[in-house]
Amino acid sequence: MPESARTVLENGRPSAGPVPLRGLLISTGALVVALLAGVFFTDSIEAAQDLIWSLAVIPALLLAYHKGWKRVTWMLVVGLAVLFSTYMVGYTLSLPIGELPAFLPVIGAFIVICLGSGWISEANATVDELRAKEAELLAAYEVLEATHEAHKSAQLQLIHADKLESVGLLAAGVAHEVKNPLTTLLTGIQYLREFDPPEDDEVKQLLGDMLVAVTRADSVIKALLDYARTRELVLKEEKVNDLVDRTLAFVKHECDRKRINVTRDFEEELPLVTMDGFKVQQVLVNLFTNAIYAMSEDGCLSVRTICRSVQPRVEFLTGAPVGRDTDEIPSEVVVEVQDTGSGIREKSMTKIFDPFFTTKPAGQGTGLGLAVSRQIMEMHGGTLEVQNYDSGVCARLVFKPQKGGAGAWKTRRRSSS
Amino acid sequence: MEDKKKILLVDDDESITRTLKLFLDRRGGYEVRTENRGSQAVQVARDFRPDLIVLDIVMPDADGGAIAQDLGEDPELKSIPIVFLSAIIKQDEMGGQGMTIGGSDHTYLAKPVEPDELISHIQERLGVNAL
Repeated sequence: MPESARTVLENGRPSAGPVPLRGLLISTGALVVALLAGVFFTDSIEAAQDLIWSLAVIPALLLAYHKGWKRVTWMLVVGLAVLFSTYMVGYTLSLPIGELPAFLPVIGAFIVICLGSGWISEANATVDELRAKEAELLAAYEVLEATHEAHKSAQLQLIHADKLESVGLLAAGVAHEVKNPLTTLLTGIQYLREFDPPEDDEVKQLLGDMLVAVTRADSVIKALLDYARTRELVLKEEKVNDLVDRTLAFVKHECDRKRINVTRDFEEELPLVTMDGFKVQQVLVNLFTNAIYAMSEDGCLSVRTICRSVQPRVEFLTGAPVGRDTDEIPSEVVVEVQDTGSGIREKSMTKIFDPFFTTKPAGQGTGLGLAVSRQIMEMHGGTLEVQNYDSGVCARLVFKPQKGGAGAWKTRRRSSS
Repeated sequence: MEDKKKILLVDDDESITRTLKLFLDRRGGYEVRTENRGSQAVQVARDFRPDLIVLDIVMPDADGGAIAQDLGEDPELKSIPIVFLSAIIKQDEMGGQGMTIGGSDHTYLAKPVEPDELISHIQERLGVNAL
């Protein structure tokens, strides 16, 4: 046994050499200070418990040293050192973690600075891509919508064509079967009036009524033929204002008879419109006579001509005009015919273009006027719209710009007057 | 005394030929012969030698256009002017006053035709023919 050990065992106290009392005291003091600092900074209950347990070890250490239990003393010293080291390591690590929230903005800023530039450029690219996709979707939607409208229009045209074909077949047969007897009646009535004139006034009146009846029946057949006829248009450029004026002259007598005031509001700088003037006059006469019929005495027949620029179709993204020279301004010419009558009943509005639909009493209308008129306008690539307004009905003829066809497509600026 | 101008009326509708004959006789002072079978029109024309033919276009047994062609191919009949009557055209489609088409010297009138208007066209055509 070594001398020192024997001395300790014999004297009951350790020798001064192997156990560094000063280091022990410093370590213990440092431990206590560290524990107190930990409790102070972390405000932790667990730290306080560690302190109590550590303080409990110190008397044991002092007792072992006093008794000279060298191994126990060393074990306690080493244990305290390990405990201290562990605590210090833990404290050193936990302190930055505890303060981490305060550093988050700095950390965030760091991250943003480091990664932000890359992320922003990537995000910008994504936004651009999304916008392009959105534009594609919108363009596709517009195409879809236009296709849908075209499909609906084609369906309506098919229905209309079917009707037209039926009426056309009917018309030819009816025309032949009715016009022959009308010829006999007309010739017979004229013969009687001229070569065997009745002396009785009532018989004279009777013959006169028969003549009117034949004329009316003939007008129905003519309207039927008009509707059924697929005659090609005889197109030439027309001055719309002149055409309207000439047509107004046809109904002047009827307007005077009913004391109807006619107002004209013509746009001076109208482009020439390529049309079949005869057929368009037929449409106008029909609209004028409808308007005159709808009004009581002292009504007002208003006729207006307008030239309006058509919004050009443009590229979705670039806004550039599609498919034409930008100097050309397509203009549609509109003729509006308004009356101050009682308007059209809502339930009749959907039927007004149907063949043989009429609101006039029997014998006063063929029911083909508007049907024929719309057909004529469609043959011109235009439209005929009829709608109620505040105090009557407004019928609107629109000659659409249509390059190479009927309608207005002129290189001109709209007059500012 | 000047001979009456002779007119051949061809129409499958007897009531038309009868009433028109009455009118043309009394008003125009023409000698009128009627025929209701289109297929017999050319033969009747050869026999009757009319100065003018009033010819229906749509008939059950013969087409007015074909009859006109047959007449045109006959050297003795080809100079006879024809006034066509049709129930499947409108007067405004005929240019209002009737018209000639395809170089043929014929007039087209829409039924129902005013007797006065018919006589006016007949006189005009006969006058032209006499020159």
